[in-house]
Order: sequence, then structure tokens, then C-alpha cells
Amino acid sequence: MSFSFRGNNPVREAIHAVFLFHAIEAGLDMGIVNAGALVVYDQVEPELRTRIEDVVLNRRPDAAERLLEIAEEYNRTGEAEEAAAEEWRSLPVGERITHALVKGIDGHVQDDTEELRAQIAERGGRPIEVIEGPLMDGMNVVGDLFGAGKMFLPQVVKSARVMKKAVAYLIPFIEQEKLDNPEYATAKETNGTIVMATVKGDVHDIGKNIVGVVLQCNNYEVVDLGVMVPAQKILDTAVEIGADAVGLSGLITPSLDEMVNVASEMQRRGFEVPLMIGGATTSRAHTAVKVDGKYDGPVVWVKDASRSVPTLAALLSDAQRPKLLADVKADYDSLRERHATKHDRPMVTLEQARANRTPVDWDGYVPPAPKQPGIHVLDDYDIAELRAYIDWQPFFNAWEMKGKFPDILNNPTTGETARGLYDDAQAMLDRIVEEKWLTAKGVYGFFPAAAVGDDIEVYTDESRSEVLTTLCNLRQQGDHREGVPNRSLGDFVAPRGTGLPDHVGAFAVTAGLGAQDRILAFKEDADDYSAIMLEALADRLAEAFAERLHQRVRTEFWGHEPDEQLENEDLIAEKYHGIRPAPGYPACPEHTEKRTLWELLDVQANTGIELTESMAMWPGAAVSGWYFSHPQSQYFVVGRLGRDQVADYAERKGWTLAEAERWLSPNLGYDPED
Amino acid sequence: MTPSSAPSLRPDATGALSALLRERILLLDGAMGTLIQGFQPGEVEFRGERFADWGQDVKGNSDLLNLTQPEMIRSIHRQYLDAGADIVETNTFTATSIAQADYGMQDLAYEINLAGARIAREACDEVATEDRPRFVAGSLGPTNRTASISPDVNDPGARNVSFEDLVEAYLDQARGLVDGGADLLLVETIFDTLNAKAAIFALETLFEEHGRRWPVIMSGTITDASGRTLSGQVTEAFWASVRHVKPLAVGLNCALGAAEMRPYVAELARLADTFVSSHPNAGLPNAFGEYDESPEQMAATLGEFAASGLVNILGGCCGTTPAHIEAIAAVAAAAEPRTPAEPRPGMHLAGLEPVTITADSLFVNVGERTNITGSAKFRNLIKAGDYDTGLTVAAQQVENGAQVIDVNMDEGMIDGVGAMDRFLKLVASEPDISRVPVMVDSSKWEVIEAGLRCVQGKPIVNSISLKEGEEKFVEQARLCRKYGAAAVVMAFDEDGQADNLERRKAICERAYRILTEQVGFPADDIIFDPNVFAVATGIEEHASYGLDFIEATRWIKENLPGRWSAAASPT
Repeated sequence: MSFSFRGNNPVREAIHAVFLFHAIEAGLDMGIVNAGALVVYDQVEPELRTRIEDVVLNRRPDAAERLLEIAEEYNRTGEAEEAAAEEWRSLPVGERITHALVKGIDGHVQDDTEELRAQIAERGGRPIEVIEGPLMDGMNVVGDLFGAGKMFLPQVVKSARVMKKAVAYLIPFIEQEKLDNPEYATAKETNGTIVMATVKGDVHDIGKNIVGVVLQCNNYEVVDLGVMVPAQKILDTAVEIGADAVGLSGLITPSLDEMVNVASEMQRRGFEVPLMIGGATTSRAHTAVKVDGKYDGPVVWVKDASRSVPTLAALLSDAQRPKLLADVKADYDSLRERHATKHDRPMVTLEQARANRTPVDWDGYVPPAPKQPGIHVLDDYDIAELRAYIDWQPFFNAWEMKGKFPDILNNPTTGETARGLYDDAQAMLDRIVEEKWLTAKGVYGFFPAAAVGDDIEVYTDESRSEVLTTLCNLRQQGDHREGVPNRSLGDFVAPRGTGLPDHVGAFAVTAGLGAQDRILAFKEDADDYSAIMLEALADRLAEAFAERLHQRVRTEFWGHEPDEQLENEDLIAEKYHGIRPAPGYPACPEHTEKRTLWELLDVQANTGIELTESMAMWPGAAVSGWYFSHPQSQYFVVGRLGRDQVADYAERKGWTLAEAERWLSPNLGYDPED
Repeated sequence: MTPSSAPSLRPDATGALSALLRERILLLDGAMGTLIQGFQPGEVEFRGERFADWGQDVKGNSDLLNLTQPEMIRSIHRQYLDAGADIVETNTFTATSIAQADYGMQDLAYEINLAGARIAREACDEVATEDRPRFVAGSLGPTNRTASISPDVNDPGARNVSFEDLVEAYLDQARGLVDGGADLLLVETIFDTLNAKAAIFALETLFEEHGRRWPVIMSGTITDASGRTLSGQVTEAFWASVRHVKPLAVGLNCALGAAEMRPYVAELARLADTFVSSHPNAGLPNAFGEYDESPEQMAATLGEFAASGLVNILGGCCGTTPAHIEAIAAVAAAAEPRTPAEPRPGMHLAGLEPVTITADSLFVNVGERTNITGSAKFRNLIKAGDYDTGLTVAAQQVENGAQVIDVNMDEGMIDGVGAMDRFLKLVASEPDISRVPVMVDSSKWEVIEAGLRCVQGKPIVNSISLKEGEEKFVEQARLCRKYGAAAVVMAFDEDGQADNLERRKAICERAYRILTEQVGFPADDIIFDPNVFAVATGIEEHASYGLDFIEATRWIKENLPGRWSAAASPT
């Protein structure tokens, strides 16, 4: 194809890129090419690209001459073809920095930063100009590509790593300069400053970290207070540094209340800066109904990291803010209106719901006796074994990579990024296993149990004469159509009246022991990419541990499905008998039941997993839940609760009604203030 | 009782077997060796009268018993038939000339197979009724040598058997089996797919000679929990590599017990657009090397296979007995047979792992750096005999994302056949390279054929064309099929290379018609190369070369269904 240009590899490769682009568009399926060294069509310089297109598509009679005219200009390297991959190293240093930022290559960043610094110093400039000039120019390219959907989140986080390493290199020079010239000791120019935190009681921060990185890439100063941060500390810090905005994150439902609390505190202390809300359990509806009303300043829910930059930019811009706030207000008003009418959805009384319990025929049922009764500790579970049980879908979701795994790896637009991310994850998993970065611990147990009403009594021994503890359950109260029961977890254990020797199981596992130190080390090394990656992988391994343990419980430890043979996809698709609902999740949404579980299994002593005051597990890479073996047991969503059930539940838990309404607030089917 | 030599060929049983397989799960028999051991034959019994004076010991040569103790073998077949087997396997698992050479009996191979088939035939005919036909499966074992694995730790490129030797031995064996009255041919215990491909080549040759086909079952062996054959292929790659024989059934046997085998049978059940068989061992060997899974245990596991719709044929391998077959027959009768999967569209290539190219696939990168005509570095390495560094070039391409590697040794100063053979055998010993399929690239057919004899997966031939006329083209296309390769068809005919749009279209269409209508070449295995030429040469006639290629590609994709297009080396 490009034989006429031998000796001029950049032009030859550009010709191949242009040719392949058009041929692939016409349907070309495969080609014999130098894998890994293909130039991307978009990256061919526009003038060269146009002239090559004239030739390849035979668009004008003088096409060949016109290409020859400029070809030599592009023959920058003359290097051996094998060196093509390193070709960018011969670009001018400013372009090298941009290239390194866009590609996320951190190998040369210190050398290149030093070269820029020296150049600028030579003409009397200051170290900060390296950041304000070439580095910000490069990050602007990254920001534009991300905004245009041409770069994806994992790449942006890698870019940030390069940026942070460059800045880290410059810090000593900037500090020295301040000592030498005290008049320079002023704040650097940024687009604004934001204080971010995961609220008190909650430990989940992958999403918040990603938002922080993305904002930093766009030249916002981010003060990240970490996890489990009380309202006072968030607001004190905001005052201290003169923050332009506050960002809150949370994953578990009790965090929603804590966010309401932070908003109320902002109102009380006379704040006016915008409050941004994000995280997995947060929603536009919750923000509109519960948070917005507590604070007179702007309150905006941010869907994901990619929305964080335009939202914050608009909030801090006098020109854009009025429109944004007007849009948000209109949106929230309609949400509030819809919410107000939502209670009209028909519900049944607790009594009616109980009469429509899951129909289970206990007559003739033989409850499977646990093969290993009692409590068992798994002290250092083999992480290599757990790898195979990882469900990758949530991993890609965490990185805001849209699409179904494994198809996402071959997606025409995002496939390359997804594959890179997946490869990096696999490489880190190799190190996690080989270098024992993480320790997996777990505890599980099976106990004699019987259903009493909606609750489940757990007995001290098989004589079933003494109640050890009671598991409190909630029941669906929606008005279901004929034949659809109002379920409760209590339906899946044999009622006391049957006299059947049934059991219930419990477990708690973590794969996050040892993660925190290493995550901090990565962050100190300006490597947010690896820090977020490790956190995400620890989460996945904990889930994998829960999946694997449940499999072993079914086939070995409880042994109610001894012949089950399922592949990982089938496990993910839950193609098995028995369930493992987790307190705080839809079938048992009330979080304090975790306390019961912790006492029953002595989880903290046996595994080191702690519970926060909001019932989050720490380390965050942890999973706990109950085991039910009955073949008819299934997952369901408890949904909205009537006042009668909340009052009944309060009595069973020994709570006041207000206490019960607080813990059940996401599920209340009525307004407690009515 | 020396068998007479008149062949008694059976009619093609494909129709009858297919009809039965759609109706119910058919039963294969169980182990032969286990039952022979029950008779405790000694050296005297093995030798019989005929070999009383044979120059070496023959005890343990079970297949020899076809000649010396036919009654013993017939009675074993009867036990299995009485237990409910629909298909009995001939006692010929080791009856190739290659395996018989251990006893100096290589020249008796045809006769042992002929006798083995006849004994099984007689046993079947004794019990068969019109409502309950019984079938003889001629058993072709793996031989005791491997075509893909080196026996010499110091030379990964060494082999103790060649593809050609295997073809010859299998042809001899298969001839004996069909002459003796086998209804179908069962290539089993495949632990090296290249051996199996040699068997397929032999069977296709036999079918050509007879102008008809016999039904074929291909049964691979996953050796352990790694889920791979001994030669390293995963299940899907194995299926892609043997599919070209269009088997009546594909399955797995030996090495594993039923429980361990399940995930791989399930994989085949998901993939195969043909019937699926499974004949596992009676569990895994215990501390004494014995198989002790009971008939009930094994039947329970295989019953689940059947109930889950995974299989069409069940049976037993090492350690199984008529009692096992009887128990399996009972559970098989209670289940519906599996419905074969819909054919999966696309080109299904394989190295150690599968590579599937469908209409949704992204552009496929074929690594060019191991092409001597394209890479000066690789040319110099091969010329200097530095194959080790040559392998690192191949490994880098795979690491850099090549989904297929192109290997070309066309250079005036190099022995192309020798270099192709050596390099691909070395590649076979590097799993990081051989996990991807190979594109065997040469302008010389003998070099291509040398390459095809070294790869166990499903490769691509680059290329065939009408350059030397239709007859040669058809011949080479048929050979591609026999070796189980997809093919690049270059837009080249008797008048030379197509250099304008109209000639590109005309030649590709003509080649397509010949391949699909005359040769029976699957359209999904055809790749067109509409010729890449240099542009901007300053010569006016060359100005439209780029555009013509692009337009030819568009035309091919729109007008020749099921085909792919490739730019062979845009450099």
C-alpha cells in the first residue's frame, strides 16, 4: 500500500491507518498488521490525513504529488520500524506531556516535568507555570475528550495519576520558591475548592474517590476527608479553607438520614455554598424530598463522576448557575409532587398481609440437618480460589463503564478501555495473591430455629427449649394480585407449631483486611488509579467469598444441595436453591439486625469486621447475611410498610415508634408527621 | 479360525442413527480391558496357536485376542448387548500399526481390525431385531505417540511420530474396521488433537476411495481439572478443530469420572450443532489405580446429564462393567435426548483457545511480524537459525493483541518446508503463542501443507487462488477442508492478479461459487483478499488502487453471503 514511502515510517503508518479506517468502514474483517503498533485514524495530523485520503480514495489527480510535497516533514524519526511504539518520545516536550496525560503513561513524567521546569526557569519563569501551562493544557485535552465521550473513566483516572506525579515532583521546587520569595506564598489559581466526605457511619468511598480524581483533573482543589466523617468536621473544614462547595457520599441507607442531618446543620450554621449529593443509595427523589427542604442553599444530586464536572462548573459560574438551579428546582418540585401522591398506592393491613404468607407445605417436609452444626471460623481463606468466583459486572459499573460483561470487552467504543481495565485488574489480582496483600476471613454458623409469626426464634441447642435470640423480619404490605403472596423471611423456616427441626444459618466474610495501608500508600504515591482499583477488587473478592461460601454451605457445610454443580455464571444468576439475604438489603431492609448477627457469630472477635453506628461494616469489603435452605425460599423486596407493621415491629424490637420510623425511614409507606 | 478376507461393507447408517438419536439417548458399551482381565488370560492364551512361536511376549496386547481368542471377545460384546448397549465398540483401541509395533505386530494391524469388527458384527447381529437395531463402532484410539508434544526435554521441536505416519496408520486401521462391518467410526480418547486431525484426514481419504461416508464420532479427553486436553486445548477449541469431519456426534471420554467431566460435556452441549456423547471412567482411580464408582453412583450422575438435556449418547470407559451400562440404560431411558444446538454463525478458529469471528467482531489483527517477507528482523533471525528469538517475536505479537499470527517463510535462501515445520512445532510448545490460531502463509503449496501438518487447532491458509486454474484451486480447497483449515482466497486468476474493481468482483464471485457449490466449502470459512497494491507511485493507472480495494470489500460483504474480507499485509 505504502511502498512508495519506504524509509518514511510515520507517513507509511498514517497511510495504513487511513486506508484501514475506510476499508473497515466498508466491511473489512481482518488484516495482517503489526499488532499493537497501529496508528489510530484520529491521531493522524489533519493536513496529512486529508492528503492521504486524497490518495487512498483517489479524490484528485494531483493527490500523489501533494502527499509527496509534505511527506518528508512528517518523517521525524527515521528510526527502525521496531521502535515505532516509542516514537512519541521524540516529540517536543510539551507534546510529550500531553501524550503522556492522554495515554496515562507515567514512565517518563518526572524527566519531562524536569525538562519543562528547567526550560521555564531558564527564561525566568516559576515552577508553578509548569502546572498552569503545559500540565493544565494537557489535562484540558483529557477533559475535552472525556466530555466528548472519547475517553472513559479508567483512562481519566490513569491520566490523573500522571498529573499527580508531575505535581508531586514540582512541590519541593514550589516550596523552596516560597521560602526564597515570601511574596509568592499565595494560593494557586484553581476553578474552585470543594470539601468531600463519606458521611458518618458509612465506609464506602470508591465512587467518591473517582469523583475527586475527575474534579482534580479539571483543576478543582479537592479536600477529601475520607470516610465516616461527622457533620461538624465536614463543615468546620469547609469554613476553614473557604470551600466553594460541599460534596457528600454514601452507600448504605442510614447514610441518607445523615445527609439530611448535614444539610440541616448547613442551614443552622448559615452556609450558602452548594451541597452536592452522590452515592449508590442516593437518588434524585430522596434529594428532592428529604434533603432539599432542609437547606436553603443549592442542593444538587449528581448521578455519576462524569456529571460531577459540568455540575460543579455550572454551580460556581454566575452565568450558568441561575439556569441550572431553575432546572433543578422544576425537576425537584415535580418529584416532590409525584412523591406526595405515591402513598396512594394500595396497601393491605398487616393482618391481611400475614394471612397471605408464602404458601409452604410443611406436611411431609424434612428439614435438612446441617452437616456442620455450630459456629465455624475461616481464618485465612485462599484468595486464589475466590478469584474464579468474581462477578465482574459490578466492577465495570464501579468504573462507570456501561455495558454487559463480558461483551463490554469487545464493544467497539469502550472495548479497548475495558480490556485495559480488566488486564490491570487481573495483574493486580496476581499480585494480591502472590504477595498476600489481602487476608480473607469469615465466620458462619447454623442454629436450630423455628418461625414464630414473622420472626424467627433461634435456640441454644437441639432441645429447642431455650431461645438464644430472635431474628425480626418485615413483611410485604403491597396489595398483590391473586396468587402472589405477601412474603417475609419468616415464611421460609418451619413454624414452631409444626415441630420440625429446622435451622437457620448466618455468615460474615471480608476480603478487605490489609487493604487500607496499601490504599493509603498508593494515594501517597499519587496513584489513585491503583488505590481505587485495589478497593474495587477487595469489594469484588468479598462478594466472591460470600458466593463461594454459600456454595460450600449448600453442598458441604449445611449440605442441603449436595449434588449441585454450577458454573460461575449460574452462581451469579442465582440458579440454586437457598438464599443468603443481607440485613439492610431489600428482603430485610432494617440494618440493626446486623447487630443480632454480630452477637450470634461473635463476628468482630472471629473476623475483625466491625459495625459502625450506622451499621456499615468496616472494612468496607465485607458481606454478611442469613442462610435459608428451604427450596421455596427466594429473594424479594419488602417495599413500603404501613404504620401498623412499623408499630408492631417497634414492639418486637423493644423500640419506640420514633426509633422504628428512623431505622425504617426508606421503607415508610406513610409520612410520620401526618 | 482365520477370518476370510472378503470385505462386508455396511450401508451408511447416518440416517438410521440420526433418527434414533432424536428419539432417545443411545447407549454405548463399557470397558473392554476390565472384562478381559476377568478371564485372566496368560501369555499362552494371548499367543493362541497361531503365535505360539512369536519372537516376543504378547501378553497385554488385548487387541490381539481378536485373532487368538475371538470367543472371549464375542462373549464380552454379548454381555454389553444384553445389558442394553445400542452400540458396541470393537476391541481395536490399540490396533494401529504404530501401537502394535510395541509387539512387533505392525503388519497385522489391518487383520486385527478386520477381525475385531467382524466379531462385534456377529455379536450385534445375534441380538439385533428390526425394532432394536444394534451398531458396531470401530474404535480408533489415540496411539501411544503424540504429534504435538515433544518426547525430548532438550528439544521442544522434536516429535516421535509424524502427521503422515499417523494418517497411514489410521487409514490402515479404518480400512480394516469398515471391511469387517463397522457401522460407524469412533475416534476416541483424543488427548492430542493433531493425532485426531490425522485420523480425520485418513477417514476422509477412505471416504474418497469408497465414494461414500461412514458416520463418525469424535471423542476427546480432558485430562484433568485444568479443563484442557493433554496437548493443551480447551473444550471449545477442540470442537472447532475437529468439526470439519461433520461428525454424527462429538463427545468426551476417559481420564475423568462423570462428575468431573460434567462442565466440559455441558460446554459441548452448548456449542455443538451435532449430537453429544459422554463415556466417562467409573470415577477417578483410587489409591490402587482401580476404578470403584458403583453402577448406581455413576448412573445417578449420568442420569443428571440426561435429565439436564446435555447428551445423546452415554456409555462407560475405564472400569465400567455391564452392570454400569445396565444402570445407565435405566436412567437414560427416563430422559429426553438433547436437541443439537443451532449452528453458531461465524468463523470458528482455534489455537489452544477458540477465536470466533462473527459479523459483530471488531477488526481482527493478524500479527505480521513473523512474516519473513514483511519483517527484516524476523528474516535475519530465521536465516541465522535463531528460532528461539524468532519465538519471542511471535510471543510479543500475541501479547500486543494479535488474535491470529501469520507465519510466512518465503525467502529464496531458506528451505521453506523445513523452516515452516520447525517453527510451527516450536510454536506448539509455547502455550503463550499457540493459544491463538495460526495463519499458514506461503505462495508455495508444499510449504502450506507442511504447516498444516503441525497445527492441532483450526488455522487459516493464506492463500489459495485460481492462479493455476480451476482444477488446482478445487484440489487445494479440498485439502484445506481435509486439514480443517479456513482459507484466504486471493483475487487472482489464470490471467493474473485483479487490479481493478470489476476484475476483483468477478474473480471473487467465481471463486465463491466454486467453493460453496462445487467443493462444499463453508462460506463462513472463506476470507477474500482483494489485493492491496501500492498507491501514490506516480503512475496514473495505480491511482485508483486504494479506492478499488475499499469498494471491492464493500461489494464482497454485500454480495457474497457468509464471507469475510482481509487485507493481506497492507504494508
